[in-house]
This record gives sequence, structure tokens and C-alpha cells, in this order.
Amino acid sequence: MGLEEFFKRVRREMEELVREIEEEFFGPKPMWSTDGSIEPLITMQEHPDRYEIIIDLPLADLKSLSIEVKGRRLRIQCTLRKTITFPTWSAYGTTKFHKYKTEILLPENTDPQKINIEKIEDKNMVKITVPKKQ
Amino acid sequence: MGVVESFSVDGVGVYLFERPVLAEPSFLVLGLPDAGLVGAIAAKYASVRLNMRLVGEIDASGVLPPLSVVHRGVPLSPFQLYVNNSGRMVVLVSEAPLPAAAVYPVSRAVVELASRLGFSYIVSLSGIAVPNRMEIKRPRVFWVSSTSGAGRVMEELGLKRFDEGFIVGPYAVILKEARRRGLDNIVILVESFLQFPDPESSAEALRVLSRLTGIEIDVGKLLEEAEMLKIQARELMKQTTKSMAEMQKRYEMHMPMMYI
Repeated sequence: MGLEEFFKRVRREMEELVREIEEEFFGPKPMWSTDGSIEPLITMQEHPDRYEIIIDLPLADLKSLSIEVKGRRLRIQCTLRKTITFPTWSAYGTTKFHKYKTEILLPENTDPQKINIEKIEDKNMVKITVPKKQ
Repeated sequence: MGVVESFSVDGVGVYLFERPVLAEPSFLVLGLPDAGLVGAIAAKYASVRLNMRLVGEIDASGVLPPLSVVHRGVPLSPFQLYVNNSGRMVVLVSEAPLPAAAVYPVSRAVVELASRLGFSYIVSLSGIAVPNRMEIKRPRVFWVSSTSGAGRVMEELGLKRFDEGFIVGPYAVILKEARRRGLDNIVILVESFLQFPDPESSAEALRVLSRLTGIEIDVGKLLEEAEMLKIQARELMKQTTKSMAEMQKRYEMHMPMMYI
């Protein structure tokens, strides 16, 4: 392992540690932002030759789905079919939500350039299959 | 609204703002968060749809998070009890996940509540995670009961018994505790997602509950608003996923030792 890769790995582990400490003391981060985005629920399942990622996107317009691959990171965005608000939510009721936004860090043994994306329209879900490196 | 009666089990407090006058047969319906939030969504929906009245709450220092949920300006425990107009149904609505450390004491407190108030049945609404949920149009429903008497009631509905497998979490504890105490507990298990809110499965649970209790709960609005509900339930689902991992919820997918 080169020096650059070593420092990258240390930085990633530090980020993960900070996230865990934050969650321990302050609870999980809210899954929404004042920029009008909400974070979807995601599951990742490992198979012998691949990972299957399912993203739950209720109320999403799947035609607007965008998935950008940056190294091992998948940046996912999708607009909602309509803008939603929760007016009775006292402190944040004025926030207008109009899109999903999230980022997934793929495991190291994957080949992100060979991902397969399948839209499951009737469930408003997206299945991403990522093969493992041979 | 002051407390008129309270008791404590293993440090878990049950506080009644009024003692519900129950009519026979009476049902204590539990909507604790687990797979797909099936019970949590169903119980919350039933409490709103049937215009149920708040009669109590459950709270515990040490094992439950120190939070209060505010609805229409009223601060409440996230674990609330509501009664319907006829006094035949009380639902336990949960708006926070149950930490693993709280499972045993809260479950015992629920059984003690059912025993003290004299409910005919405890009905637990639950999801049972299936890996192919995405391909399933209408989820199947199973049941398991603490007594043969409660089992006969479910057999009359023509539903399939959950014959073999594991149940993990508060409903498992309540089932065992109820059996030991001779109380009738029915667990309604609906095929569901594990880590995504599943209002369609909640609707199935409510259809069975309607048939069991004879109290009609129209699920039309639940299905109509399913997508909005799923958005609102994401954070509870995420926290529940963490709690389920602590409880080893995936054990439900394990194969038990069976004699062929």
C-alpha cells in the first residue's frame, strides 16, 4: 500500500469514527436538509459475486433519477413528483421538500464502473447491482 | 390531564389518565415498531381513523430515550394508549423505537397492563420480513397464539398458522409471558420489508384485525397516503433498524430445527 492510499484509508476511518461518536452522543442525523432534500432509506445485501442495493423512493419521479459514480461513491438524486411540506411541524413546517439526495460508499472489493441500475416503477424503488472485483 | 392510576414493572411505568371501561370481548392491540413498521403504522392509523381517545402512556427512565412527542401542543410519551368509543379496543401506539434493553421490561409491563385491566385478548401486529417482498402483490398473513383458545379464534378466520420459525423482539417476550400467565395473545404476522416502512402490509394487518374484532377499520386512506406515510416514517424506520440489529432480528429468517 502506497503512502497516499494509507492516508486516504486513515481519513476514511477517522470520518467513520467521528460519525459513530456523533450518533452515540446526539442520536442519528436527521434525514432531511434545509436545502429541500430528503434522504432515502437504503439496504445493501452481499451475494457471492455482487452487492445488491435497494433504494426506497416513495413519491419520486423515477424519470429524473441521476446516479453519478465518483470513485467508490455513488451520488444519487431524484426529484419528487410534487413539493411536500409538513405545516403542523412547528419548527420546520415551512421547509419545502422537492428531491431525494444521498451518497453511498461502495465496499472496496467492488467494480463501480460495472453497476447495473433497475427501476422498479410499481414500488418506486431502484435496485443497483454492483459486481465484485474478480 | 392527570394520572388516575399507575403501576410499575421492572422500572417501566404505566400511567392511566382514565381507566378505560372495557366491553366484551376487549382487545389490547400493540403497534410496536419492528419489521416494516407494520404494527406501528397500523396502530397509529387505527387510533386516528377510529377517533380513539388518549387514556394513558408508558414511560421508563433509564431504558427509554428521554423524549416527549408533542401533538396539538400536548406533550406525550412516545408510547401512548388510546381507547375506541365502544371500549372494545385499546391500542398501544409507538412513535420511537424500543431499545433492546427495554424489550423485556416494557413487554412485561404490557402483559401486566392487559392482566390488570382484564382484556380478553392481546393482539400484536407485526411484520415478518421476506426477502422477495418486492415481487409480492398481496402479502400473506400468519398467526401464532399463546393459548389454544386464542388459536381457535384465528382458525375460524381461515388464516394460516405460523407453525415453525423464530420470532424476535418484544412480541416474542409478550407471547411467552402471556402463555406462562394463561393470557390470550395473538400475534398477527404479515409478510413485509425488513428495513422499509410497509403501509401495504399494515393494511393487511388491519384487515385481519377488523375481522377478528368486528370493528371495521377502512384502510382506503392508508393505501391512498402510503407514499407520504413512507416518507414520514423513514427516520423511525432507520432507528428501528438499529434496534432490530441489536435484538438480532434477522434471526427470524433463520431455519429452526424441525422434525420432518
